Amino acid sequence: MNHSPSLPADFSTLCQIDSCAIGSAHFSEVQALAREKHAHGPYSLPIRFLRHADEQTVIGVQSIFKVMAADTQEIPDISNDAVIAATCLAGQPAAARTMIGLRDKGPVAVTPHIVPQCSLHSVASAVSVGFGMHGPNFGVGGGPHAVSEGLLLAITLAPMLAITSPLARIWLIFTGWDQQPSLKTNGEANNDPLCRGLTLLLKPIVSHSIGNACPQIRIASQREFHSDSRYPADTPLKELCERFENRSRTTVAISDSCAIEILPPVLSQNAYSSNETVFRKEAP
Amino acid sequence: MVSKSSQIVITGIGAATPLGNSFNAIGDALQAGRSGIDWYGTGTFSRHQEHVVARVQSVDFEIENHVISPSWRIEKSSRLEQFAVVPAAHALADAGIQTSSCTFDQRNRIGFIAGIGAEQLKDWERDFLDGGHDVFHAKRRPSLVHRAAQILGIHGPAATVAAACASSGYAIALGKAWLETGLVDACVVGGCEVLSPTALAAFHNLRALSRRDDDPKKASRPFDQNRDGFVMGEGGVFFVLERSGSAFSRQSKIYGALAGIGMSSDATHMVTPCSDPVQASRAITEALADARLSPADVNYINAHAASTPVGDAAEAGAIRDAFASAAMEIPVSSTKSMSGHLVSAAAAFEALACLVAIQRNIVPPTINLDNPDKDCLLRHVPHRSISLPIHITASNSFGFGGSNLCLILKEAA
Repeated sequence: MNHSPSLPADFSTLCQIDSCAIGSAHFSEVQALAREKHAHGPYSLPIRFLRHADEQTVIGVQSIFKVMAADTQEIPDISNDAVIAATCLAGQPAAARTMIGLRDKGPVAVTPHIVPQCSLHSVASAVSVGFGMHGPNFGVGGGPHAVSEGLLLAITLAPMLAITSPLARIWLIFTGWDQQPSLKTNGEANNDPLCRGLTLLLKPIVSHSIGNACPQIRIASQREFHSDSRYPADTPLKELCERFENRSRTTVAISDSCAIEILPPVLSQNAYSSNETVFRKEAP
Repeated sequence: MVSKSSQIVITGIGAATPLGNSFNAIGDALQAGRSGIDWYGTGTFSRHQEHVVARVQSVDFEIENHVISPSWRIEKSSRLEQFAVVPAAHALADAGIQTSSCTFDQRNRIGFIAGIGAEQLKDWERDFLDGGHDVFHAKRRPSLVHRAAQILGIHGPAATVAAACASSGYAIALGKAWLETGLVDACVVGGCEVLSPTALAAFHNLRALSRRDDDPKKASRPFDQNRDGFVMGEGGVFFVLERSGSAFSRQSKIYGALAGIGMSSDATHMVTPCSDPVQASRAITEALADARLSPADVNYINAHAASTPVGDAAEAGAIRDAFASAAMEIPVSSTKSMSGHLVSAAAAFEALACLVAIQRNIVPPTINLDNPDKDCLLRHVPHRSISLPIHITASNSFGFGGSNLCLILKEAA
């Protein structure tokens, strides 16, 4: 191996953040949210599209509609866009219900939706299918490192997408619970935690700078770390959302010598109100 | 960016599969057309239940050139963890990379990407079956790829990716990108999967599994007109990827080059593949373009074909669309007829099958292909392997959620 200690000095791709938004709802609110009509402008989801979806998918989709509301691109063509969904411990309530069914009633009680709707790929696939995005779609993370893994793989995918679909963008969706649901052994909830979704709409920028003040994510080497804004690789989504709320330059560690630096954009009120349930407001 | 003239090559392979645990053992099984499918009892909660599955019989814990932390306790690890750690360790040892003798900076330049589709679900299920309650009070513990990286002494970037049955193919593709962008000097890539009662029941209830329970070895029959679903398998397959320059300078053995990748999404249904082949065909076409090859350059296509009625026909259409006039000239087979469907690990296993084809100049067969479906018209290789010069291969992988992926593997220059 060419063991050069320097970090990717020739990593020439970064992503401009075209738009971003945060969605959220409490556990007890998600089911009702999933039944709402979901639409914004030319985009809408089929009725009952989210009826079997995991809670994190519902909140991820909520944040996407907020991004669509804030996106300034005049005629957005999303047909070749890519989707990356970085989720943390998704599917837990459905998994608990499934285990209880398996124990009490046997294999016949296992829902066939558990694999397509509650796996790591499910949020990304639901977004790709729901909005007709034909670029790559995949899930990332699954555990506490989801934030750093999602950022890294968006930067990884960017140069590939720039070659195959130069106008396409990446919908990078983070979802997770502030506190995991605590469930009784019959599957009912003991608590009512907040589920958050943060979506970044990213435009790959290859081989030229867009300036330090432009909203962006980029690879940074260790020597560029700002000690007061450095977050560990297992940073909870809640903290990332708060950094976006404050529009604070943030560095998330990827490994001992590598990080992703984020400069969040200024968010419009429409795109950004963490407890707002836009589905109800935007449904015709 | 690293120069395009620098190829991304495969210098290490590790595996735990229903067809064996080494490149040679798997190669022998594929060449002989041997099935790894059988009955296996997976009863839970005192209910006896047998499934037709492709199970890993044993895991080879003897690893040359020890790269596993001595603090790792095999007996405390889950089967899924074993299918990640052990093959990845074998791959590193095979590549001649001993992390314990690497410097801090060198370990920082080794990455790890694992394709694992439902890790947490498998963990919760295992705990629940053992009488635990993790699924009711889930804990934030590092995911398997991070634990495995620590066990293996890898300090570079690590990530889990999931694209359902194409997961490990995405891991391979993204590892190639990490090397091309100079983020790492070596990258362990692949995927793992474990049989589980929940997954078997879910796929069964989805009517995706074969119901041919009376004759396990005949159950997986891709492209056959009597196919009725896939046979679920398990295992782990990992590779070490490096830039050709560093592989040559280390005088590593090189199994082949990862020449091109293509990725797309159907965006039509969460489960069913699109009957219009345009997006699956696009993934193949983009992979060929990435490799700077034309369809006629390909000597062998390893099909995703899992033995499902809809999926096999859709893929045959995509191959005909992408390869056009060359489609009926290029031999095609589905090694899932022998290995079963390794789900998250399937794409990595099939990349390995392509390397077997290149190294041995053979085309592995599609066993059980007694009556090719007229909707799956291709140049099939039924029953027995054939000998042919194989320089360039294409491997397709498709997953739930409409994920399409094609890898082009070729002889290293």
